[in-house]
Amino acid sequence: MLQVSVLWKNHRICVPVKKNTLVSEALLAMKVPVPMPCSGKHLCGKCRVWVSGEVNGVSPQENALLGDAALAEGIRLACFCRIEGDSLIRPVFSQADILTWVKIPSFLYTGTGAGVACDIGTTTIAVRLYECSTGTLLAEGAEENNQRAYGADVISRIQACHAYGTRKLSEVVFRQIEDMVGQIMTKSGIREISAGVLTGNTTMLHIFEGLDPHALAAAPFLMQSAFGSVSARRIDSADMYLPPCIGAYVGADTVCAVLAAGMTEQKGISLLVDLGTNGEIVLCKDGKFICCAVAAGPAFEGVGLHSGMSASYGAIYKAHTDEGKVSVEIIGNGVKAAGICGSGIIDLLHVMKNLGVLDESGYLEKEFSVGTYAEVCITPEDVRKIQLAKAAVCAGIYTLLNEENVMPEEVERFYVAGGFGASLNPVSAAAIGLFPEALKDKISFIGNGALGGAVMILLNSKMKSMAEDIVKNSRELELSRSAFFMDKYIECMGF
Amino acid sequence: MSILDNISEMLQKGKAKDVQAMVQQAMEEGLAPKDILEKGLLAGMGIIGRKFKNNEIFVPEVLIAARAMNKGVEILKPRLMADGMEERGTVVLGAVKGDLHDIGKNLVKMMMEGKGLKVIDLGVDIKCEEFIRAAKENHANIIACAALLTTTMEEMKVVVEETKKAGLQDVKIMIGGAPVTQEYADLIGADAYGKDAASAADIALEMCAG
Ligand code: B12
Repeated sequence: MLQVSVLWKNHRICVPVKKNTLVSEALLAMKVPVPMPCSGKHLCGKCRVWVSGEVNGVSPQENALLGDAALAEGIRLACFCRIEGDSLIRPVFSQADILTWVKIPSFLYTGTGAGVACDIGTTTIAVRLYECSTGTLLAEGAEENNQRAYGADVISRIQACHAYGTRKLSEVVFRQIEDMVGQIMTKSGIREISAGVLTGNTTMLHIFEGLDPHALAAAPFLMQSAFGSVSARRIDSADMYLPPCIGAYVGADTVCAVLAAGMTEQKGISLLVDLGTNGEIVLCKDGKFICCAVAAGPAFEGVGLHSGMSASYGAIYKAHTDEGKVSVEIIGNGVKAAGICGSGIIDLLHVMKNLGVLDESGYLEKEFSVGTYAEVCITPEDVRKIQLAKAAVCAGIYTLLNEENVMPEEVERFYVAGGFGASLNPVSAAAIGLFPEALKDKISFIGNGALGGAVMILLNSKMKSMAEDIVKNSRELELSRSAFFMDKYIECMGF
Repeated sequence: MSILDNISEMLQKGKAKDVQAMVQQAMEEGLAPKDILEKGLLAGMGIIGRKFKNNEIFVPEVLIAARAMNKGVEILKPRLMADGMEERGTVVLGAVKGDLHDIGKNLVKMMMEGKGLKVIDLGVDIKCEEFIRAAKENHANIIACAALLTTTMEEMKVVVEETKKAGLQDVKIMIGGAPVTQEYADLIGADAYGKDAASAADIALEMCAG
């Protein structure tokens, strides 16, 4: 046995480990949180740790993800680094990492100078700063959207625009982005940026531009602008490009996610689901796109549930059963669970179903406490809220497939974007009916797809026209009056 | 178990065909259509309403039970009409202008019908004038408005005001939907608020009675 010491939040934890143990495994065993949005598949480069002592050599793949500068400082990735002798480890990751994780296809870099890509999410704003000619990521950051003071969802923001003036909310978000960009510029010693791409849902872009969003809030949902243009406002004297929107509820964020998934480049049938508050779905067949928004609500972000919380410290994010006993994994150094985040809720429902406490119809006799954490539980009301949300997503998928005469089995690639990162367990998700069973083995996670697409537009001049082409070749399906959707919605509510 | 209990039981299980067959059988056995309706079908729907309210069952089960009820009512209807069905009250129901959500509203309709009320369902995206016109034409006791968006909710205030202006003093206004609260109902001067479909039906029946 070897000795490893981990420095974590003013503690020094020492444990014996076997030779060749992965740092990520050692950390997990010590209940030190490792953000691994790609689930340790060597894709995201987020699980950064500072290491000194005897460890294995750096592979070219790890080098590519880390960069020479980080390596020189003694930084390694926990998913690659194996312990070969006594060593000291200090985690250096942060929460922002999960929100800014993107997975995009490879492409040519045609830009010059430094530039920013930004996703204005209703809940979170994420920015990345790049050296455009080399595609080097210089710095990144994520913050809660300061407009949250004006309501959690887009509809309440639109109402706030009515009450306080669109200018007011526009100023709030503009200042915040300016500030965030300023911070990452300082961090990386960049004096000037020459380009920028700002994406977001249709409402967020309206508010950023100071356009009155009220017509987006009720039928017939009219946009003032579909964007695909340069913003009237500059950030650090650089022009900001706003990618185009398809409709009031399928915005530039979704168009960017389609780019990030690489769906434009592929033959065959592919499907994308962005699991944010609104839940957008896009089906691509023969170069044509058909899409919809399912209004699932924020249940998968933990909002409105008894023990729900975001994927931050103290959140149960995974659960499974071992011979009838429930065991959970917690983000954080695991002394106590504070709540359950989206992926944990989905796992737990699957567990409850397997244990037979949750029946097919969604009936739960009394709240289900999670292991030793009596106060952390899933209530019968929580189950009902999840049913409404997951059935909306699943029925939305079936409705698009039906519209194009496609069977779920025929879908070749299934992309999942959104806050889940890659912690969503496809088996659990399919078992509780978040999507059709046949899609489960075709899943790939693309993280923050909106941000990913914005990065692509920033770094390659051809991407703008690709984004425009996506919009040109898209058709939005209005689910409100679809009888097929309604039937499926009810049908998909069970477990 | 009596045949009426059986009808109620099968209705709760959503077995439309069995309900149909047993209602037919009960009629052949000479039971009064009014009893079959009230002690069989409506009794079963009442239990469904209570279970839904207590979270024991959910939307799909209510919809299936309501379908079974309607199958039974279809058979009874000609006889009930001939016997001169007793009117418990009429409700004009719809989702307000700009709002296309209708699942909750449909549940309200079913529960109200389950209480023996006549429901005129106008559908979704209903303008204020349409509510008023339908209320006049059908001599309704109640106008019931649903809204699921915090924005379209404000349309309910317009309905309250316009109904008063139209001189329909006797028509009560009832409102509901996820974002709606009792406080909001008080604020805009609506006569009643229903938290869920079962309560909505109970309150509506009470209002029609007196
Ligand atoms: C299903 C759904 C849809 C379906 C609607 C299908 C249909 N034909 O109804 C689709 C996908 C089409 C849709 C569209 C939209 N939706 Co929608 N939708 C939902 C969802 C998931 C469930 C709503 C539901 O059916 N609940 C189940 C029923 C049974 O509950 P209920 O309606 O509250 O009814 C009960 C009580 O309220 C009461 N009641 C209901 N009506 C009445 C009436 C009276 C008179 C009384 C007394 C009582 C009463 O009794 C019922 C039973 O007990 C919710 C989110 C969620 N998880 O709740 C969002 C939600 C309502 N939608 C939302 C939004 C924003 C939209 C869209 C604007 C945008 C979009 N595409 O995403 C469009 C707008 C369409 C329009 N103009 O109305 C938001 C509203 C946010 C807000 N602040 O207002 C929600 C909350 C999601 C979210 N958080 O973002 N939606």
